[in-house]
Amino acid sequence: MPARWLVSRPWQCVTGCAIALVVAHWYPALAVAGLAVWIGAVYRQLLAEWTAALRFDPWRIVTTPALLFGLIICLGLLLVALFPARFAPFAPSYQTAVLQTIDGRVMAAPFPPHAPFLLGTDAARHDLLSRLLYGAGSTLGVAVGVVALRLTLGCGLGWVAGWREGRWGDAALVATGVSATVPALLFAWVFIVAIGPGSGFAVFVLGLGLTGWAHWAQLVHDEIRRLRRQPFMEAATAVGVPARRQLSHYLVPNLLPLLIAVAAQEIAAALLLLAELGFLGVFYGQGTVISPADLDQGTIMVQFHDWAGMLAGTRFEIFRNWWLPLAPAGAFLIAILGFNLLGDGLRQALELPGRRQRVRRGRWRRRPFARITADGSNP
Amino acid sequence: MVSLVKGLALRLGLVVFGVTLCSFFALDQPVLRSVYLATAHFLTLLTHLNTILPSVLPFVWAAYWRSMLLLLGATVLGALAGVPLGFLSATRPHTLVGWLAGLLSYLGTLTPSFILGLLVMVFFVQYLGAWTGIQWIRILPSPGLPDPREIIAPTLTLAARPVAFVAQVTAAHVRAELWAPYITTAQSKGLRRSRIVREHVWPNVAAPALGALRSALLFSLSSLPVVEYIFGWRGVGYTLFQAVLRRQAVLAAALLATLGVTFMLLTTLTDLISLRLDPRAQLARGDS
Repeated sequence: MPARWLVSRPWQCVTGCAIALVVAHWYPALAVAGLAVWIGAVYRQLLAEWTAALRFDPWRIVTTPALLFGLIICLGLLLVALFPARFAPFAPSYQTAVLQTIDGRVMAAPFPPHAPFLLGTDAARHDLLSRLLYGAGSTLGVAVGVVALRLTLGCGLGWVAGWREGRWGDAALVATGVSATVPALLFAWVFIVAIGPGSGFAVFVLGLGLTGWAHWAQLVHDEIRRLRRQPFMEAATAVGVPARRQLSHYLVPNLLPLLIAVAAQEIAAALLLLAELGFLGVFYGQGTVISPADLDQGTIMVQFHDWAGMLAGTRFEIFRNWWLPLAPAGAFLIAILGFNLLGDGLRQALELPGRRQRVRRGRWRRRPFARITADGSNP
Repeated sequence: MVSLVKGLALRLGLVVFGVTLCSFFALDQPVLRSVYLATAHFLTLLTHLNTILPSVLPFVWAAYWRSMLLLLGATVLGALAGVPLGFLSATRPHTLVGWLAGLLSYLGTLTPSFILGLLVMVFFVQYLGAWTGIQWIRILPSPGLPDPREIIAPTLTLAARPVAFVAQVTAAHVRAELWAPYITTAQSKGLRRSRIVREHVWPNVAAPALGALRSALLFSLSSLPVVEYIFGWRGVGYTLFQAVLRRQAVLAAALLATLGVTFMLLTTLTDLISLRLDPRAQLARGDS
């Protein structure tokens, strides 16, 4: 439809684009919102079909504990990542007094957890809780970027392998097989160290996202192969529905629920990798690679606030100042648990394959190897 | 069998060649310069292989056997502890034991290696060490042969993921199998519970459990640098960590190639064992 407009109303299109560019320059958020509304209006039917595929009884949120807890944790993280200043008790750069009396003892930084520093402070006297809350945005942002790249690569190659038979399909399957044998952490670490973490967001997304997409490709490939054998797909092919329309109106609505559930768990996997990289001294926001000798010296002080950065050099701190490694590690653990629960819960609520077997009320207590009664029931 | 060996040789060759070439890429350079430098270095390595390899191989071997020791321990623990844990979780639902087994396996797959490593280190140093009066962990890398006591802590950390993942997969498959009609038939015939599990359920669960062990081993292989760094264990991960930071490309290439070859061999070995374990896979292979 947009291409047809360009031909039939060229001047209106040019003027519209010029106005859009001016708006985007001064009010980028407004431009993004406008673009979203425009896409929604043009493709409203397609979007309605896709959202219909995701529809489920909202009561399921309450009756599926994994989904409920996952949603609570993930929504909490989203709020903290978007509005850290509303939740953080201090600014991340705020430094408390050099010497403090805690439990009757005069101490120097880092201070252990005590009011008002609930998670303690680091060696530079910054509040750890505030740093964690301010660091949520960048950490989750990198994880989401990694998942977006893995999703693009995995779904693209999975689609090629499942949809196109012959040389291209085989090549995509071989690429998937090779990618499955590359250890993600090792690749990411060597890649980021070789380029230099100073290159920023893109190098982290590329380092972590160029591997780890093999199971996406396999999943999409298997699902497309399964769906293509279904009667509705055969009927669509028989009545001459073009391949593009088959993809957008038949395959995507069937794949979308599964992909969203897996994407949530993939964010957890990306966070796990980010945490381990941070512990080895490779984290977003650091200009140079930290040597093992510097890592052993103790916590690395960085101006940028990132959960992974707060873990760097905390190997021996567990014996001296336990709150320094455990506070960021706890944040990672909560986020990983939240996204995993969300993925599990979505699987159960959307009734996808791989979910736990749903047991009808009244048969909750059914146990294997129980006595079989004469009528064949298993009390 | 011949095609399997041919495929393995081809994949091995590709991995060694690819990894070695890639290790020479200086990615911080402009693209063309980087390609030129990588090719030049790679060709230099090929022409001087007979002089360079003997100087690198002792370091690779010294690091390799130490890491393999840990991986072997992790694999054995993964199989010996993961499978019973999975069976326990699936065959005793709604009991405290089954619930704990399920929770342990769920937490094990979520916990990053470094958190577990730190907790294991604290336990061994502050509690077990203080109680037994023995030094269980050497914080600084030790030269020469490692003391057998030092192997336990890193092996336990590395084994957590295989144990948890194998337990999860085993439990899921056992849960599905337990309600299959053939189990009800076996039970109706009066077979004992232990015999049903051993002779009816286990053969159907063994192949997926082995597949899970293979996937978890890839993760353990990937976590080697973290675990070896925490415990100061001079294995492949630790040596690679040092080699990459010091820009020792030949050593890094050799270590990466060794890891790649190891994983390939492990994959092929598990493929062969799963063919033996599951006659259906053998049949499908024959059909294809």
